[in-house]
Amino acid sequence: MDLSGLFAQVLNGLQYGLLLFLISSGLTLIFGVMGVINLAHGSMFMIGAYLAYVIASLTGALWLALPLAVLGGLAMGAALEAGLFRRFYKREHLDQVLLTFALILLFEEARSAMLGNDFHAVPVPAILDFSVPVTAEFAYSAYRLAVLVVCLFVALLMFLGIERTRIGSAVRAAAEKPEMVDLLGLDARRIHLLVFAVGTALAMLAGALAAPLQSVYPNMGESFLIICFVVVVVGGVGSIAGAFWAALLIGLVDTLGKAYLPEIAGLVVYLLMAGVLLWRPSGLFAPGR
Amino acid sequence: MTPPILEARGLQAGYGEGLVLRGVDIAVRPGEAIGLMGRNGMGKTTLIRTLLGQLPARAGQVLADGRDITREATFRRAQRGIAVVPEGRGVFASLSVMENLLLAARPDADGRTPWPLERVLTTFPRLAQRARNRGDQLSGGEQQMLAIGRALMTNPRLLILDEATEGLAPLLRDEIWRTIRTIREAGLACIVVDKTVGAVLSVVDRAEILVKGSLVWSGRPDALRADPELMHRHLGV
Repeated sequence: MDLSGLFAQVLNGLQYGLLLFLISSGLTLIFGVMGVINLAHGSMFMIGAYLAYVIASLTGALWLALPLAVLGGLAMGAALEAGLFRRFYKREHLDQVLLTFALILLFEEARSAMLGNDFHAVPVPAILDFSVPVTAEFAYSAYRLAVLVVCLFVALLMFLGIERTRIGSAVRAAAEKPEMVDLLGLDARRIHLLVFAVGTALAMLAGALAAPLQSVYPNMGESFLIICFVVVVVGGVGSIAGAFWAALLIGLVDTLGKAYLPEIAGLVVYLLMAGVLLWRPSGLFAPGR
Repeated sequence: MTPPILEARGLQAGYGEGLVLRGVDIAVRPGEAIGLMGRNGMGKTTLIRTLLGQLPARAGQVLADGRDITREATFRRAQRGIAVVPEGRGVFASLSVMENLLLAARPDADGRTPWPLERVLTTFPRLAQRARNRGDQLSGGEQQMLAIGRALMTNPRLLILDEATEGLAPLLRDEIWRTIRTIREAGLACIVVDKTVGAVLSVVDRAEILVKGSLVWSGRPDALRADPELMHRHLGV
């Protein structure tokens, strides 16, 4: 077997998995804390990618898109939560699904009206447009390595924020027993606003990072949304650590599957999800039980 | 006279079509301990949930310090100094003991902290030993101590204990009752709901008996103890 090829696929898998983590962490927290299945979360990823495309074509400075995606995502998430979602927490899941599905249509329609329906390539920033020699005969894309490092850094920040701060313990508590959080006198609305804003910002950041790795195209958010639901289920709803390990697992399985078992690659992650749902419905990485 | 910390006037509430509370009047004054008695299904937990705003009132009022809070959100009521140890304990399984305690930490309305972390840990030395353990690694008794300690961390004026000794071994029960007595001596007002009638009567100033959603008897514990027929009819002892 070609070892450096395998090495490249493992790195691709990790990098893809880390990107999935950025999207899934928000999805799993929004589901775990507020009980909302936010189908429009993929649209946030799409908006982030198109933001990168627009910034790169206007200014040529792709890196500018990263802080803009984070700040824009925080603002957008906060506005969506305060203006729309908080009215739906006590509604039925069907209402929530209809709301978030309507948002997908709205965001895609807005994208179509403003930027059209063409596929666009986003060039890798010039300073990262080279390959890093990893071994004598194998080199790896510097941009992909940079994405890997940025995602790891964000994952570390998320982990510290969730596991080591009082706000983080409030978020975990709210994901577990929301009525008890109320009884302790904590204002759950602030927790919801924070979770939604941060989750949206991470999805937009992921979109901006992913833009140069693939084309920017209509409905790109939805293909990511579905694989991210697999991550959420495998990792256990509401668990950041679970989402992290599940995202790496899914990223690796999907990438290696496509490289070495292309005939069944499309099936493997879904089989994994079905297995988890059957035998460990609380997720592979859920603590306890 | 200072108004009650928490008061219900003609309070009605229920689930779905059914009415569980049929017009309850009850008041807890500062420093007072009330035993809320009654057989299963008579509305004790429903009354507590309605007082805390977890269940909407169908009619009547809830007042805190004389102010109408019937429509106030649960977390705002808690911020008024009303803490609860709920049935089932409500310990956060994914948080450590220390995180459970610190999450609740808050000074009272006057900015004072009569129950700082050190005092809670002195009251429950076991919690100090288990500080880094997760909620789901604790025994039932330890979880109960954590639930009470966590409620104290909010520096409340009124502590509601719903079935605080349920499912515990006799020795642990005695320890919980000793703690409740200590808390009482510190001047905290309490509402105690528990199946062990004798123990409740030994810590409260007043007993209230709830039958089918109405308070049918109210009085001093010794008056209730002196009336075996009443005890038998409404409490089954």
